This record gives sequence, C-alpha cells and structure tokens, in this order.
Amino acid sequence: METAADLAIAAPGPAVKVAPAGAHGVEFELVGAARAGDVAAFERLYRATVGRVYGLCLRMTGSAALAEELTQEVFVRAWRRLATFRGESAFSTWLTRLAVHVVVSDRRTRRARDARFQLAADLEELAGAAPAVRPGAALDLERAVAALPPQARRVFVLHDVEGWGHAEIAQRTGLAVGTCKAHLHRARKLLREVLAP
Amino acid sequence: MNCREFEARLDEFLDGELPEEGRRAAVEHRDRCPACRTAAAELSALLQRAAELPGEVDSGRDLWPAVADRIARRRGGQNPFRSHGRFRWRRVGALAAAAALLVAASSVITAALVSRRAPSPRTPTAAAPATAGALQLAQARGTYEAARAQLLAALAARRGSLSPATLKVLSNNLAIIDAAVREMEAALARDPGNRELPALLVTAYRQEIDVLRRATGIPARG
Repeated sequence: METAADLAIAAPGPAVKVAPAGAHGVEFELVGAARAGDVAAFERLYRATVGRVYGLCLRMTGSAALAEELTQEVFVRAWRRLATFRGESAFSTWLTRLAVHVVVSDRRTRRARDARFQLAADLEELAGAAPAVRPGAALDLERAVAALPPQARRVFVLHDVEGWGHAEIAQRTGLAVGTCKAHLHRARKLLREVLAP
Repeated sequence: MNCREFEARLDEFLDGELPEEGRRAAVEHRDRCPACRTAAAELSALLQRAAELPGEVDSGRDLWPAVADRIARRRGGQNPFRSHGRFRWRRVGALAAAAALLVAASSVITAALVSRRAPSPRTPTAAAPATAGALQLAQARGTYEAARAQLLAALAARRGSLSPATLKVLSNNLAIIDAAVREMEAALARDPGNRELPALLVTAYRQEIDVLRRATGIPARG
C-alpha cells in the first residue's frame, strides 16, 4: 500500500518535453516508450540497471535472497511510477533512490510485523556480534559489510559506497543526521577491526 | 589536539567536514603522532576500497521473468491474491509474515543443532494445476531439499563449537522457520490453484538456504 512517503520519492512535476542528448537521451526515450505501455522498452531499462539495483539491495540488506526479492519490487514500483520520472537526473539515479526507499520501507514493515517474535532481535544480535568476535580474520570487504549491524550497514553503504551525503541519507532513512553519523562511525570502527592485518 | 580528540574527529577529518581551524589541528596532530597517522591511513584505505567496490553486482539469476509477470498481472487488473479455492484474503497477512520470518535474519538455525531426528523431506503438497508457479516450485523443491540436507550436515559438525546461548537461539528460531514453511505448504495443499503461494514458497526455500549458508559462518565461541 502506498503511503505519503512513497509519493515523496519524486514529487510530480512538469513533464520534460525535450530529450537530453547522448546516452541520457536514449534512456529518456525508452522511459517515454515504457510510460506508454511498451514493456520491451522497460525491459531494456531493466537490463541496463538491474546490476546496480541488485548490488545496492544486496549490500544494504546483507542477504542475497532478500536482495532478489527487493530488486523485483523496485522494478515493479518503477514501472508504476514512471510518470514521476522527470529526466532531471539519470534514470539509474532515480532508480537508486527508489531502491533505497524500498529497502528502508521493507525493513520497517518486517520489523513491525515480526515484533512479537524473538527471531529478528536474537539473530541481529548474533549478526552484530560477528565482526567483534573475529578480530584479525581475513574477511574481504563485501563479507565484512554484510556482517555489520543492519543500520550501520545501510548508512555505510549509502555514504561510503554510494557517496551520499548525511543529509540525504537522513532524509531517505528517516534517521536524524547525528544518528546517521553515529551509525557510520560504528560501521567504520567495526570494519577497521575485522579487516586489520 | 590529543589522540582521543583526533580519533573522535577522524571521520569528519577524512570526509572533509571539519572547519578550517579543526582541520589544521587534525593535520598537525596526524603529522606528529605515528599511531594516529596509522589510524588515519587505515581508515582512508578502507574508504578508498569502499568507493571502488563495483557499482553493479550480478545476482546470477534472471529476475526479469518475475518482474514481467507481476507487471502483466497488474496491467490485467488481476488481484494477485485472488484464487479459485478456499484460500482466504485474511490468511495472506499471516503467510506473508511467515515468509518474512525467513528473511528477518542474517544468522542461522538448523535442525541438526538441536535434539531432533534427521531432517525429513517436507510434506509434499497436493497435485496442483500446471501453473508456471507450480512448475517452478516443483523444480525448486528438489534443489532446496538437497542443499538443505548438505548445509544441515555441515552445521551439525559445528555443534560443539557454538555457545549454549547461540544454540538456544538457533533452536527456537528453527521451530519458527519450520512452522512458517509448513503453514505455507499446507495452504498450498488446500488451494493448489493459488498463483501467489508457489512463488512465496520458492522465495521461502531460497531464503532458508541463504540463512543456512550464512549460518556456517557463525564464529565459534571464544
């Protein structure tokens, strides 16, 4: 069910009438065709961006299975919201923001739904403990990031992998800027510990 | 600036977020303190590696068919939860929650770590109409059972290396996961024509295998 937050991904604005030049222009034309119901055009957009979306979902969730599920959700929602893409940024950038929203929303939904179970809390505690219990282990960076506590992992991925600023991370995740910085600090500290030679 | 202050402001320093006066103080301290210079170099190297991670990751599976199917159903105006049988709308939330349990975790549960009999194959579901989802489920089930058995055996070998607290958590959570999958399979048996449940079950199987794989990486008690 869509909420006001869903609609805040990209407030509708005036449609861009003139296609940008180059690759961006080709992408813009594909979006236009997809908006008109051309699924083949949307598939081309999917093929061009799925690796990026999946990579982001994977790193933010730490779970390949969940990342696949959320990747599908991102593209289904993108199909529904093509009318809100105004062409002011690259399609992949717009899609990335949508993916972050899907990941964050999914986390909130699952946490609320599973509140009565001990499962999530217990297992997150185990996952959070993993890096600290294995000092000096030769984990590569991807595995180390996947083992971070969830909030710390999400902020680290958005800030240090994707290059987002704290203000935008705070806006997209619903966290205060100070809280984002605290999670980032924690993530970096844990990663330094487990990746130390 | 002393070492504690430098460590506290290291993130801002490397992110270029310190005001000029603070940045100068940090540079001066870094230049004269070997330990802090090393810490700054390590964090800088970490951030460099993070920024250089590949922007795209291949999932190894083509997700387009599932996306296209959902788009097509939506375009056709079909309610994806409408079925031909006795499956009730109010059960959807409970089943979705059951599936969600399998993805809530980044850790592990296995039947072999508790005093249970050897894992047996899941109760086969009733014969279903040959929907695409049912065929996918049939194919996934064989792969899932084999992978699950292998992973459970691997985890059983590690039982002695895990703490009692970890074993207790794993035991409790295993029961929840098993119940979730049984509930979905039972629902599918009652409503074999349901188009949504096979995909939900395949996702659940995949998620359980993912959890079991990650479980083999749980650190041994120190």
